[in-house]
Amino acid sequence: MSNEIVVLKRRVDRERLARRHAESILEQKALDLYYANKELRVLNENLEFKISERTRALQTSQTRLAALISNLHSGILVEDELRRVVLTNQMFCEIFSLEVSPDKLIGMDYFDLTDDFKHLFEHSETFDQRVEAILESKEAVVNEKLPLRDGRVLERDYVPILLDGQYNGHLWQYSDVTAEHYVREDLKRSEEKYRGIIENMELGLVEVDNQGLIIRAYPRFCTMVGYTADELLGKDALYTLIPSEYYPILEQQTQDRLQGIGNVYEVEMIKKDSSRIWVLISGAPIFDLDGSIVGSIGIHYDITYQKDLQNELEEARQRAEEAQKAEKQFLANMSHEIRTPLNAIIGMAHLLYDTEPTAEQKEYLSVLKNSAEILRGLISDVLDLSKIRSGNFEIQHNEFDLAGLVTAMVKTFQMCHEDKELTVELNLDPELQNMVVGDDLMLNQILINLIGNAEKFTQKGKITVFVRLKSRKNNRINVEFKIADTGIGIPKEKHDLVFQTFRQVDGDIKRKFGGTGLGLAITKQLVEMQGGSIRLKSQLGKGTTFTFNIFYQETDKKIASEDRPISENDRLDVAGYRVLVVEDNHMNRKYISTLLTKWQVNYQMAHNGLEGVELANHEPFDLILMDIQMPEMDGYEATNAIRYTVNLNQETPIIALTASAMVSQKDKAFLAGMNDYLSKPFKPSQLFEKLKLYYSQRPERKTETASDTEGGYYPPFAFNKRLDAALLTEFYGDDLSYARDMFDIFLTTVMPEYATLKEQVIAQNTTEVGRLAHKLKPTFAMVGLPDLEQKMEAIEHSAKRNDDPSVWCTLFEDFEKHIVEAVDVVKKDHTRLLNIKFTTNAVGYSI
Amino acid sequence: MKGVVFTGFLDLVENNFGYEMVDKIITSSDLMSGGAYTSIGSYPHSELVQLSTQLSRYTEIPVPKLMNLYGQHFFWILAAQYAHILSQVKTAFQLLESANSHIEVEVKKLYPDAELPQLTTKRLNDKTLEMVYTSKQKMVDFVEGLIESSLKYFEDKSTIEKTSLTKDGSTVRFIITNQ
Repeated sequence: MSNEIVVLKRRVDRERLARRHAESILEQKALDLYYANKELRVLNENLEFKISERTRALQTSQTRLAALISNLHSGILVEDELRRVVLTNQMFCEIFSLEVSPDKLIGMDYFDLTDDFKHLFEHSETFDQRVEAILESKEAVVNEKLPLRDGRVLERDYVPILLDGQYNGHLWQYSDVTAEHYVREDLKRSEEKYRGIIENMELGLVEVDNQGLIIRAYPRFCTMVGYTADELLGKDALYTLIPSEYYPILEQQTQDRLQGIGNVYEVEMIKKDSSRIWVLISGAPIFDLDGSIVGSIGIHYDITYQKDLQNELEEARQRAEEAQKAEKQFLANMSHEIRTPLNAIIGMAHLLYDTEPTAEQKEYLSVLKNSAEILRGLISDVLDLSKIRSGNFEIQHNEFDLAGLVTAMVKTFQMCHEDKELTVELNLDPELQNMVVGDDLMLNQILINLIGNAEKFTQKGKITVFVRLKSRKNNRINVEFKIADTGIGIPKEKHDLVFQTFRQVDGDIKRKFGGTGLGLAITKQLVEMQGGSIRLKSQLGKGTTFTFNIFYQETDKKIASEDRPISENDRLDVAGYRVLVVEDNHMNRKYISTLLTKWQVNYQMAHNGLEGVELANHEPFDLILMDIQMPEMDGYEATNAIRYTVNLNQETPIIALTASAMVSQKDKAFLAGMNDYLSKPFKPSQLFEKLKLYYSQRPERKTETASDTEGGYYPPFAFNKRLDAALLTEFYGDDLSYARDMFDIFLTTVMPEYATLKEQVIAQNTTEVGRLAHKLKPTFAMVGLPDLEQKMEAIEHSAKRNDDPSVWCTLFEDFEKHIVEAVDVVKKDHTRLLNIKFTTNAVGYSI
Repeated sequence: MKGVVFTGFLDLVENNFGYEMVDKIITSSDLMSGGAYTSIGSYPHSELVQLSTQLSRYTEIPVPKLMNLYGQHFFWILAAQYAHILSQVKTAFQLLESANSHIEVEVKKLYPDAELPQLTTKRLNDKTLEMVYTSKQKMVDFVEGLIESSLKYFEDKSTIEKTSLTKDGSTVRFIITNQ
């Protein structure tokens, strides 16, 4: 083979190789192209699917929108930029009574359309003008009210349609709001109506916001506070109208209001002229349409007049209370005034029996004695009742022999009726063997009342007293008492009356049997005060039974078989006993001295407190009987003098002889240093018991040189007799430095004020006199001048009552007479107090 | 390297020295492709280096001269194929300036795997253009031939000044100045 052919063959091979290479490349490219096309087709299909989906969604929403617009409860009119109708709905046609279907309006010119309904508007002449103005501004308009001639009210909205900022037409919306409009109008009218009514009812209305600023003040309110509405508007109601002392009340109200709570309260308000009025405020929160609180409304009612009346009533009440106090005092005094001579009469009558009187004299004596006792009973009843009612009757807790008390009581009645055709019997439960704790005096009185009552209505027959132990629990016993008589009885219909005050079964009874009609009322109250109850059972002509029960505390002590009545032996028991009697009443002196002589008791008589103190200074006694109300120096003062000065009787028991049974007087007696009391009139046996009691407790006499002060005794400083030592002791105890300071204050500060009072009296300034008298009043007691305190109180009351100045001027003149002498005494004691050398230890000091 | 460079090269060898020379340089080279090239294929650059080295050995013409001649010839191949590009420009400078932006984008569209050299141009003044060529194929002489032909195409009388900016000749600056 030639070289040329070889080369050519190689060339052909290379060409073929290159062609195959190119073909395989093209093959590969074609494949790539196929896959690329395939992928492209898939993408295209997806894209098509998405487009059709979106188109469907768009159609749906367009359909919905169209349905929405055509069914909208408002009339819709959409126009393009050339004012051609693009869209409208059924409601639009209905509102304007256009008898065409909405589709027919599309494409219509707006101006042609409005000509069809413009005339319906109340202000049709300005309709176009307004529409042009709106279109000119191209600003959205909402809720524009348009009244129609037929009474309907429309609301118009205007919305410009902008596409990419390009004006593209606009939308009109007309809504029929006739119903809402009239409801709102009605509401407004009724609100105004009620405001008007309230205003006419003299109720002042004011509205505030949540910050308390006034947002509306009604005419009546303005008149009430004296401001004009303009002056009040925007002001803080609290700071403008309310006095600061009421701020806490108002703040509470504000809190309540914010929580939606309404309230009624009373406060004072300050008027524009600074005067004050009292108002009753009814406050309530104001809610807006959403129900949130936007402020509150206050309805004010002027109650100044009522408040003044209330204050006057309060003053009247206080005056009445004072009057009641005075009445109590009067009763206490009356008891003294009447019982003292009565005591003497009864005592004397008793003594006269011992003087061997003739039969005639005896008869007179018994009438005298009975009359006096009836009188005493009457006074006791009245007094007891007043004591019970004033709450001054206190229950005692004495240990006493219950069986013995009842036995003695029955025995007394038995003795009285030995000559009458009446027997008195006792049926006593043998269980009652122990001493009990309770009020023996009250039981005594109850039994006297009931047995006395039975006796009064039983001329002939029998009275039986039953006493039995009804129950016993621990050491508390319930004792039942029954007083049964065979007397005239009480008709059933009158049973309820017998326990009432001043009531008797009938007027006849009163004439026939006497009595105040108080006895059973008192009895009932006494029983009930002790926790018991009383009832009655009676049959006319057959008799009456009163049953009552009282609870007592039973002690372990068995009753000692003692005989109560005064025996010859008793007389010997107190013989040699030394008694000082301080009594100003001649009759009482005679009564006591006779008894003491009879019992062989040594005694000394003093006619008043001063004499009593004098005697006590010179002679030691075992017992002192001290009257309370005496001239020169009363019983309290005398007791003070004996207790607080060095003398032979500083520790001697002192028994007060009180004419008044008031608790306060008893307390005062103990406070003054007395040990016991005996209420006048007392029976010989009562006095004897006291003598025996203190005789038995008589201590061994101390040697007269015993000057070592034992605990419990007062220091040897005596205030001037003019001053109320008891009161001063009550105030200062034995702290004399305290007393000295108070005296100092009185002299340096109170007296200058007294000078001011005097000036005001001369100037006849009633208000100032009342005020100063009130202020000065208590200071007199602080230096032991309670009498001047009372006088000052009289001045105060007179001034405050607005008496004629001459009344309190006279009172003041009287006061002036006493004050000079009294201040002199205070000054002297002040000097004496200053001279005491107090050691660092406040207790120990020497003169 | 694109197959068109090889087919163009072998066509030029055949036209000037006959197919025997083509066969001689192929058979004396160690070619992966076996010397069978198609313009749509891609072949290693080293094969062109072998072929041009063998041609230089047989013809006793130095390789740079051969590459320059081939560059001048290759311009006409391109001009025929991309006449529409040439019609868009009026001067050689415009053509050279658009080479990187325009031509390269066009080439990449058709041959995504084509490895194109980087060409940057800068007008130093009205008559002077600076062109910097960067390529790891180091076809500096080939590129110079292309430039010469393009100047000839627009009938420009210009001088070309060539400076290697790197030792290995991978970056070269041409300063083309119009007369």
